[in-house]
Amino acid sequence: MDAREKSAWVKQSVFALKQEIGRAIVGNEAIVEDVLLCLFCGGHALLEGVPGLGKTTLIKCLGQVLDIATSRIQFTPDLMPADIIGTNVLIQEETQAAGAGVDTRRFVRFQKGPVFANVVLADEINRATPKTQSALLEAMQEQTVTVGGTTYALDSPFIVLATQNPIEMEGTYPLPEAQLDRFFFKIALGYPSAEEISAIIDRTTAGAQRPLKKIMDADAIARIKELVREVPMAAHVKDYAIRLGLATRPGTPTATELVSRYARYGASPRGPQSLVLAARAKALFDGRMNAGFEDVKAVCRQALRHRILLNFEGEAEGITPEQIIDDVRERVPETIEQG
Amino acid sequence: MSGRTGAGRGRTTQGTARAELMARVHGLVRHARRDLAARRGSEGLFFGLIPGLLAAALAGTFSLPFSALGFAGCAAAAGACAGIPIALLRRIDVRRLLIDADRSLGSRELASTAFELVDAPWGETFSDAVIDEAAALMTRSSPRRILGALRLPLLPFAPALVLLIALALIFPFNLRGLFAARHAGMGELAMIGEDLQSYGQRLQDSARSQNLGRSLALAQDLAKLGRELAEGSIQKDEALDRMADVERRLTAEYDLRLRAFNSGDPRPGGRGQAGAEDQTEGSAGGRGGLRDGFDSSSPGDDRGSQDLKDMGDALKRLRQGQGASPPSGREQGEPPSMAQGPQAPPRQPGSGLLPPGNDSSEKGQGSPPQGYGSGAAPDSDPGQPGKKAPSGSPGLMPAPDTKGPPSRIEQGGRGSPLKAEASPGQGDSTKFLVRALPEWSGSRLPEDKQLRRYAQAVESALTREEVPPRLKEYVKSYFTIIGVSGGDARH
Repeated sequence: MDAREKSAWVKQSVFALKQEIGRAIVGNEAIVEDVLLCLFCGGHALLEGVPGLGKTTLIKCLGQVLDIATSRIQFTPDLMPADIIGTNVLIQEETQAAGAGVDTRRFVRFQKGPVFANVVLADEINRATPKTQSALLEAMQEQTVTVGGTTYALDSPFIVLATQNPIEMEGTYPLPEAQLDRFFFKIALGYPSAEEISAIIDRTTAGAQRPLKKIMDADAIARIKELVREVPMAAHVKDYAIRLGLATRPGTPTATELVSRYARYGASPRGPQSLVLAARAKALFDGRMNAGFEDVKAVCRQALRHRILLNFEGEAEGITPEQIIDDVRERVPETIEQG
Repeated sequence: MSGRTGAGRGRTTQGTARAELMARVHGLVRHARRDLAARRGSEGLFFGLIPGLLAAALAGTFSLPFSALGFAGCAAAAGACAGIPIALLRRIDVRRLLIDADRSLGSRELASTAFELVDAPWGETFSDAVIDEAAALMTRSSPRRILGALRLPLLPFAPALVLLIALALIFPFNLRGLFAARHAGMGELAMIGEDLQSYGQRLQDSARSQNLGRSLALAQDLAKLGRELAEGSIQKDEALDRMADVERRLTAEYDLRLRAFNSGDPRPGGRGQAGAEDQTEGSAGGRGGLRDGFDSSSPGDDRGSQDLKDMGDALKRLRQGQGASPPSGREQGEPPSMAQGPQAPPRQPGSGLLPPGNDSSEKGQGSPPQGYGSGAAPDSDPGQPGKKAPSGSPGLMPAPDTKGPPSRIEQGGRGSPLKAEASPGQGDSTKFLVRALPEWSGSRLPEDKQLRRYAQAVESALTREEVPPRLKEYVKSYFTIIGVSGGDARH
């Protein structure tokens, strides 16, 4: 395949994935695309929305259309780290000895936890204690798990798709900033429209649903991940992504007025990293072979919203990170005069 | 062109694509430079024509040592020629040019990315394809489409400038004469206005010093008219109308004083002018009436009459449209006296033009004329009509007049004053409301206002996070409590 054919193949594959997921998920095409961007960029996604919007269904559908191992962890306050990553268990084996008698052999074997899968659904992640939440840190960043001094590598692709409910604060443990930063995207789900609700009702209350087809396997995912990183991006587009990230930091010369007034912390270097990688993937999804300004702008909200922390004044006045991002996107020029 | 038929052929094809892309880029740069030269040249032409127009305009006024037409042509040509080399020497930023090209073509940074990939390939998969596509795109698109239409914003104005230059040369005019005539016309009116303003100011001072309300209003109107005339904010016709009104009032005032003076009956402590103003208002004025205190004139009488005459002269000059210096007859800075009638004998100080009802400062001086009602303030002692307001009172405010039954008025012969007879209690009565401030107790700010300031400052501190979060509710409740019972705030 030459470059154009590869690009066309990616576009077609992604379209097929969206079509198949769309059979089970009504609307939310942008949300599905964002999840796929995370998958092919090798990042993790945090889906936030009120109950009943189909967060879990969406992720389960993704697991069905991808021919890879999936697991689901329901986070609860009494969930322990070992319940996620696994633990060493003592095994006792009895073998018949050469003479009369039985040899008993005891040894420790690592019992893998649900994190050993390609797609891990961490449902209601903010219900577990910080100790348990942090058990995912190493897995998310390093794609390895260390138990009892032994490090185990996770399979590739590995993607954590976590959900959280923003309205129930009782008995929840908000994710620490360090863990939030490890998510590639934070995807916000909104309420469906009347037509979409009607379609949801029709699909879920009439007859049995046909299972979704497997569209893509792990090898195809790995190939697309490689292609994403091959997409060229001009220096001035990369510079724009960097300036966007810097403009979210209060105290910097390029910070906008809204940022200076309402933001406590801005995006870490992971912010521009996410912008650039997601813009490349977005261009490839559209069948283009280079990333541009529009691609960066299209992924701005998802990539930066969880990396901007509001100060007291911002929270008191009801400012949202999305407002700050929109302001930054509007005020930061695409190009600046050099020299 | 995509190199799918073998490595060698692919390299050649890709080399062709790169060469083609660079050729297109260079062509685009040449077009951009030409556009820039055209823009700068047209700007130079325009800015060169401006001194040409200036020279043509001045040619009718001054004798220039060169031909205005030749100068205009040379200046325009020099401007155009200077703009072109500046544009040609300027460095064109190719990267910026291609970013703009991407914008105009809507190609999502394809051309600018490809240009960078020529020198620094990114990966092996897409670089060649991007260059290939960019070359194809730029081949398809004409440079004019990429660069956009050539805009020469100043060029349409150049023919207008040329036309103006031609008109200035065909119809030369002398700027000096134009400005001189205008200056002369303006100067005359301004000088008259300054004269009027000066009279008005002096009359104001005089009227104010003697608390003559009507005279003060007249003098203020005069000063305002003069000021506006001097500033040129009103036209001559409007000035004449307003001046006629001032003159009418002035004449009435002049006659009034004359009649008041002729009526005689001077009285120490003087109410003479008050009586005169009573007459103009048609009031009976009680038994005292016009006879009430016409005091003698002061030695400054000549100055007062001179002021009035001067104003009449100024009006005459205004009508005739002739400028003249302020009339002599009095030294500058010497305040005129409105309170004194023309050719009047010397009078006692303190005399005025206004009746007691309008002249607050005169209240309580001498005996009030019969026929007046309660001349005192409501809060003053009713048994002491005309008692002055307490120290520190800002003034008197007349209440609505109440009319008594009409008195008999005798009209004397020509030039004789009116004589009115009335019994006590008849005639006009005027009430005054005294507005006075209480004694200052030393307090500068009401307590409730100060409390509100404290509360606002605390709210501001709460907003700025200067108060620890756990103390916020405590602070809020504290101010809520003291806000309800403000008297406890000091505790």
